[in-house]
Amino acid sequence: MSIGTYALRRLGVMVVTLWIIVTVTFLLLHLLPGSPFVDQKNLTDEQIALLYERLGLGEPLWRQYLDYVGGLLRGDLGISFQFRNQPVATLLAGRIGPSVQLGLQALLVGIPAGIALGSVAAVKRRTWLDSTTTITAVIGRSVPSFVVAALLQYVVGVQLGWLPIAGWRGFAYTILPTLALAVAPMADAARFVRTEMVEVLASDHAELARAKGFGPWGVARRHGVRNSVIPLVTLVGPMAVSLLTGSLVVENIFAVPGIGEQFVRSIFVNDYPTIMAVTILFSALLLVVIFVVDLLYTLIDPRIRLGGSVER
Amino acid sequence: MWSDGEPVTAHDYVFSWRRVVAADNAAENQRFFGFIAGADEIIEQGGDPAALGVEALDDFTLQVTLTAPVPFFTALTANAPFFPVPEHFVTEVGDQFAMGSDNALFNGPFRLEGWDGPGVGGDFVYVRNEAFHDAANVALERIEVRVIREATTAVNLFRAGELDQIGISGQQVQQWLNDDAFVADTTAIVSFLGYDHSHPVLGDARVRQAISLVIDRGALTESVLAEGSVAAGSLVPPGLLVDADGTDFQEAAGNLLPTDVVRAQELWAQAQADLGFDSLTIDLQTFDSDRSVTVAEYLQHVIETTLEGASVTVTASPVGVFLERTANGEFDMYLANWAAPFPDASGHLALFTTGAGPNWGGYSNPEFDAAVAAAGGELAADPEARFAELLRAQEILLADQGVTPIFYQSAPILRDPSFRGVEFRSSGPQFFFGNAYFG
Repeated sequence: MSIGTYALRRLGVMVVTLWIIVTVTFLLLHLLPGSPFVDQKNLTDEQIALLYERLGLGEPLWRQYLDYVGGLLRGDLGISFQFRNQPVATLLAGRIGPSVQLGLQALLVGIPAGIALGSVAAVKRRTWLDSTTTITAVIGRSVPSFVVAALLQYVVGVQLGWLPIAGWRGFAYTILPTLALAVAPMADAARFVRTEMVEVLASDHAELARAKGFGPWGVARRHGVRNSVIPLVTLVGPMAVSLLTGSLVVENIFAVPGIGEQFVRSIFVNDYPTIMAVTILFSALLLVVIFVVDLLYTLIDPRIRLGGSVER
Repeated sequence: MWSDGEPVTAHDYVFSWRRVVAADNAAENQRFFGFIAGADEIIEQGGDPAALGVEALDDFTLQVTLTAPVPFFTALTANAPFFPVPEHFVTEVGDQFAMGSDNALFNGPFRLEGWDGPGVGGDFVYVRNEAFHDAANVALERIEVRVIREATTAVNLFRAGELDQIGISGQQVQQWLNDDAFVADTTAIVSFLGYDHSHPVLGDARVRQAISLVIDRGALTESVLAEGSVAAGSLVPPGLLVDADGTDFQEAAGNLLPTDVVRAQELWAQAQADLGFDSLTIDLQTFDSDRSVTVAEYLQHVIETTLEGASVTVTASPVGVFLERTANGEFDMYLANWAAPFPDASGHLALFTTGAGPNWGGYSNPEFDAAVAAAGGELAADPEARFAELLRAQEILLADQGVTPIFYQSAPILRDPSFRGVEFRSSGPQFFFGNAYFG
């Protein structure tokens, strides 16, 4: 089918998916214990009643739900419960930038590095180079990002003074947090690419390429990378999500004004609108990433048709 | 003068105080205004804020009518809810007031710059306010405030000389305890154990006394917490009220919280015999800060090892959940902190009068209520008598162990030794930099 039809169909599915996510999150939120008011012990009963009314919490659940979805369709994400005059959209807009930037940078650094490492390991398999890169990948996967972050901060920032310790005042400030976050994607990519490429390099068309006279690196480049990268592309979706949601601690360590910390805090204080908004945002981002990934498949491997494997 | 050049007048104060008590504002600190005539009616029944007992006799004279003599009223007005806001400016920007540093005016030694608003804003700067009446004596030109969630990062920045003062906690205190940069001010925050007074066992004073007697507050603060916190000898923390001789209330109270394990076990055994129980499981609720959890675990240990048959389950929850549980009475004991709402001893004591909102455990002793009421009523105009009556009230509360105070929290910080003149305040904003300098 053509790209146009495919895109439309996917868009429809994405909207439905997003709507389901919104509904389920909304319901789950209202089951959380605790109240949305930060200093409840200081408020009189009258004040609590007033705030409930003003925030629309007194209405029956279905009415609140419809109000919320109606607001969403108009682009209104509601007003934060924690910061009483602040629209959630402003809250997010102010903080989403750094998190997205770090996530993107981590992917752009980690994945190519991982592909390179994995390829080297595959081409030079069973040599010391292979063992070293595999061990590096395993360590990279096992060591939590915040440990890497703390180490980098101390060694590179404090002791060596090569890069800033913390903050967000220029490109140099983004380097250490990006490196800390890039380790996990790099490790995953390396292991995947190595496994896939070893298979590809043992396959018939690789044999043929070698027979034609290509050296091991030539074969890797012509056939290996493209074929190994496909399963990797599948991983990019979940990787992106875990980067976005898991960047909280790294953001805290490097004092990056991102969204992770705000999200966690809003859960603790039952700031429903902010929680909903961040959940929707992350879900929407993930859906877009998956869509892009599906499109990428066809670019990388022309044998894969959009919309399914059976061609009509 | 406001930072835009307009004068600060009594009219600003009238405007501001009326604004706070306006019922549709639902401001959290309206209760502080309860001392002013007419405030309660306005807050609870939605009356007209203009009926508040505050009036501007002229541009620079403010007249306040109180419901009863309040000896600490002037100290009370040094707290944020009583600060003036600029009437001319607020009426202009309406809802957007204070939503960013551009939407506010300042009349103190510094003004705020570069702050984008609640939730969004991160780092910000205090710049010397040239419109301040004493600007010539303010030494600092700029104070950069950075918001750093991760304690180790702050320490790293301090080490590198990028920060001059940071707050620290926990293990870092132990590392820095003997360093020149370490400072531990004692706050007016007391950490205490509350009880469910309707509980069949905990409702018996002997049981509560036994629990208090097994707590070794000195060991807890010095060895277990070891971050500058001070063992409590009574409920009301230091730095809140002094008598005519300058003796602090906390000092005058003496040590009403001794440690005596033998006596505790006697009382416990008596209670066991009279109430007829062998074992008791206590549900202890607290919130999830490192300090609270450590203290709760210490209490669990000390109670279980000295009081036969006692076992304690500790539950640490996020603050919102903890407050909901305590408000609903879902606890046997709770470990909480309370800061002084204003510089006076009555703040902490009033918490435990019958029916008071924060009296989650339902402690009720008419003699105690009467003493607290007297201090706020007929003795209010006599500071000596009032001081003595508040001491007496505290003694009653602690003889009963209506609550069991444990320690006064410290505010441990690291400060560059050349950064001097910073004043610590135990109620209201913690630090005052108007007289600070480097030297």
